Amino acid sequence: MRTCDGKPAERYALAYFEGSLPEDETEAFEQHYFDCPVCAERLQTMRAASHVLAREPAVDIEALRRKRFLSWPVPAPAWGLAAAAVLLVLGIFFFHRQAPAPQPQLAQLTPPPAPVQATAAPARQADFDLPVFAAPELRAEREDPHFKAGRGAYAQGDFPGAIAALRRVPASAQESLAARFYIAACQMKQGDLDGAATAFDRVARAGDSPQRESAFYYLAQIALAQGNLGEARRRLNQTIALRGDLEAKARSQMAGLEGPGTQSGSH
Amino acid sequence: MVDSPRAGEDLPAADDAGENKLLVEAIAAGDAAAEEAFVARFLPLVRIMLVTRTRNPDLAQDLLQDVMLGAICALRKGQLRDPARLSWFVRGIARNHLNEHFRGKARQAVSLEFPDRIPDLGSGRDDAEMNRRETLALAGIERLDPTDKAILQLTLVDGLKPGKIAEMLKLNSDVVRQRKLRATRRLIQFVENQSQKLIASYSTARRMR
Repeated sequence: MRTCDGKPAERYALAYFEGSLPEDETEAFEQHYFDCPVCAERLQTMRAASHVLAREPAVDIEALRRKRFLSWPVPAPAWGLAAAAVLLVLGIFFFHRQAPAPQPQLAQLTPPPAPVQATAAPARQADFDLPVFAAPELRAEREDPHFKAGRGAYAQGDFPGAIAALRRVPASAQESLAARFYIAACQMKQGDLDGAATAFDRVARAGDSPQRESAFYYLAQIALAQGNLGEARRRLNQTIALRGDLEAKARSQMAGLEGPGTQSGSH
Repeated sequence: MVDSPRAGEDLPAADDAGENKLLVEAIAAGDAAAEEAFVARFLPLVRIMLVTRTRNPDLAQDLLQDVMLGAICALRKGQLRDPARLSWFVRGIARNHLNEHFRGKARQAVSLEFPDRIPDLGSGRDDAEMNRRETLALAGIERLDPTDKAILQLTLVDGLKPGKIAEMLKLNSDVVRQRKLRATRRLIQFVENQSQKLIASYSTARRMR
């Protein structure tokens, strides 16, 4: 148990304290921390934190909500409406410009619309850095052997090998969702963006998981690379809404998408 | 998440098993220092378990005494045959006491065989350690985003579930779970980093002396 990285305590301490873990998981977690000094230490830290928080003044919910409202990410439907409005205006504009001109000589003076270059700049923003292969829970005790093999291949940059190993992780294994996520990362790195997008989407749809935020983020990167700015915005908003480690990067990219020359690629 | 324990799994590593064996044998041989070491190792863990399970610190403190004394008495009598299962053994005793309590049985065990010589099980033994942890935890909490801090407080102090917190803060429950996980991670990392710095500065000061 000395090889534990403390992730079980990090992940389950609060659920354990609040009593929301199922009984079998509670027992397994208890047995784990009785044997694991790292997790035991972390649990004691969280226990100390609960004592401290109990002495702190109660949360002013209204003040928090007011403060957060100012920095709240724009929800996807609002982006959709804004994009629709822009497209409508642009559509009317181009319709009038492309309608049969009453004076042909005047129409010839008007330069043809420049080809849409919207995909080039955003595509350069796409971040395809590989995600860190995060340690699964309780890896030290019973990591799935295929997952372990996939981790090794991934670390070596052997993406076909990693995919082959990770595909053998059984669906019942606790690493199965993580395996799907890293398969998607490998596909992305190999240039199979459609396949990667499908796989990331499945991970994102699986609900709350440690991989969900990253799945949204990489879906945004793929959409950026493919010039699908509407989808990129939607996925970046989903990333931001989770308020996780990738929030700052997603916000930065979102701001970049609002720059000049990036509107016309919206789908 | 954590699968249910299965036979042969979750046993301590070989070096832990060796330590357990020495500890169990020393306690059976009447070594008071070994009993102190046993208490230092298991008392905080049993306390966390009991406080979490009973949600009543006073009751947990009473049960804690019974559990630790019960475990020490059993170890003195050599009732643990497989030292590798020491942690299972202690946790099993704690569970038995909890079960007895929840079934409404009167507490009785230790009063029948209260040993003459017992290690210090008082709350004073780890008060200084707890104060140190709380000081660090407070510093870590002050560095958290106010919403993260609120989520931790509503979870740890008020015992609210993510759905309810989400409703109160006008967030969705996925966001609450994510932020809770992130806040926990940051708090733990901060406390661990500060602890390491303190240890390092203490070592340096000792070397300079």
